[in-house]
Amino acid sequence: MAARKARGFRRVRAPRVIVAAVQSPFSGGGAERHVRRLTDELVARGIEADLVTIPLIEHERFDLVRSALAWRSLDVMEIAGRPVDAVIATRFPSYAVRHPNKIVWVIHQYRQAYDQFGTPWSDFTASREDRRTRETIAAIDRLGLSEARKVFANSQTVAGRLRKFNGIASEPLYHPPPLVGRYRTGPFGDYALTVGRLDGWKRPDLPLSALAHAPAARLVVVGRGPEEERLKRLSRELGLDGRVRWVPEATEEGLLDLYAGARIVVVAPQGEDLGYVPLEAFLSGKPVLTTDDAGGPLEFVRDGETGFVVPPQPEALGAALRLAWDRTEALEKLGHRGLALASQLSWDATIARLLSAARLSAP
Amino acid sequence: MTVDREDLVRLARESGSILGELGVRPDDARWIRTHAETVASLTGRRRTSPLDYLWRIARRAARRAR
Repeated sequence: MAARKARGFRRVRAPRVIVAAVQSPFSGGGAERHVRRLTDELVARGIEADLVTIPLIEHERFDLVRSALAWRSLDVMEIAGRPVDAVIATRFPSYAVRHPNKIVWVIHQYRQAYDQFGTPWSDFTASREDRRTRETIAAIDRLGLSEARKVFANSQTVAGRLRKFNGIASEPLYHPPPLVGRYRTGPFGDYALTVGRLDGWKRPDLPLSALAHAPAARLVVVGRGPEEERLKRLSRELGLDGRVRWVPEATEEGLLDLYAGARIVVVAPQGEDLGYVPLEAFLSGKPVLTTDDAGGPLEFVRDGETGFVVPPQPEALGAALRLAWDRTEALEKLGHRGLALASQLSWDATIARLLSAARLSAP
Repeated sequence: MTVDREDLVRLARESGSILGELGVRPDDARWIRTHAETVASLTGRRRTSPLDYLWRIARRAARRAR
């Protein structure tokens, strides 16, 4: 055996890796697509990987604990007589799973219990049960993350929250957006683009209200959500009808076309974890207009370099749109820099880092 | 579905212990009772006595795990 090692023989068996993820039934969002892609990328590199999910359905607070209990109760050391070499856990509470070679790539903490607590985006109150639930979520995070061999975060923003709220050090590990390899550049069209679920915390009213301060600008809004009707009303009240196009659902090809033909992409959420939209915009050669409290997007959008960063006020976004609108040459330069920046992200590098942390190598 | 009483006790003990590890305290009585109800539901019928029994086991396990 020692001689085999000395001669540099590697084991033939493909490493077995479980990707542990939380499922939100009937609302397959970005996180679900991300873990499927991660599993596929592992498989494409010869790893025997499979996705294991447990749904998190919250009827009552205890369901959060119950879900963590379900993960903790699983024995994934060995499946069908063969050992599992590593587990890559992702969202709360999947990282409660037990495995001696557990890597956690945090793409979501339970933010309502942390940075969103006390804001309109969290429904946790000061009741005893809610306080205990928040304490228990912190205990689950502490337990699940501190026993991992390595903790990654999907952005510096998420890594910062882990340090601030849980005292846990993690390494930011970026990855390309979902349609990487298919984004294309195109001529600068006559519309600004905003993409995302129409949820309050994503602040879709900001780009809309900004239009009132940029008379030449037009806006395409891609997405749907609980704020849809309110936003349409706001658009009518601001007299923007005719300058706003609503696209509740776009096919992948449709979305690629919209990015390719945009003049600028507006990203308005507050405290975003990572945010694919800036990366998608850059890979389509478009600059990004965002706010100085955007969180993850600020790790890529640099004011005057790859886009514009302004305070989260309609007047400020509107002024930026107004000033930039007719300067397509300048926008093109910003977009090219963004393209160069986002092109550095690759699944090759991401998977290599995950495998090296798990002390595994592709066969 | 029928479940052996010993299996239920084992489940209550093991999962009660994990609850304790996850941060649930013995004085979170409502949560532990909810959990005991889940375990007891494996018997397929609701009876008071096994529930109380399992609740005590889960609570004791949660206390020990902390």
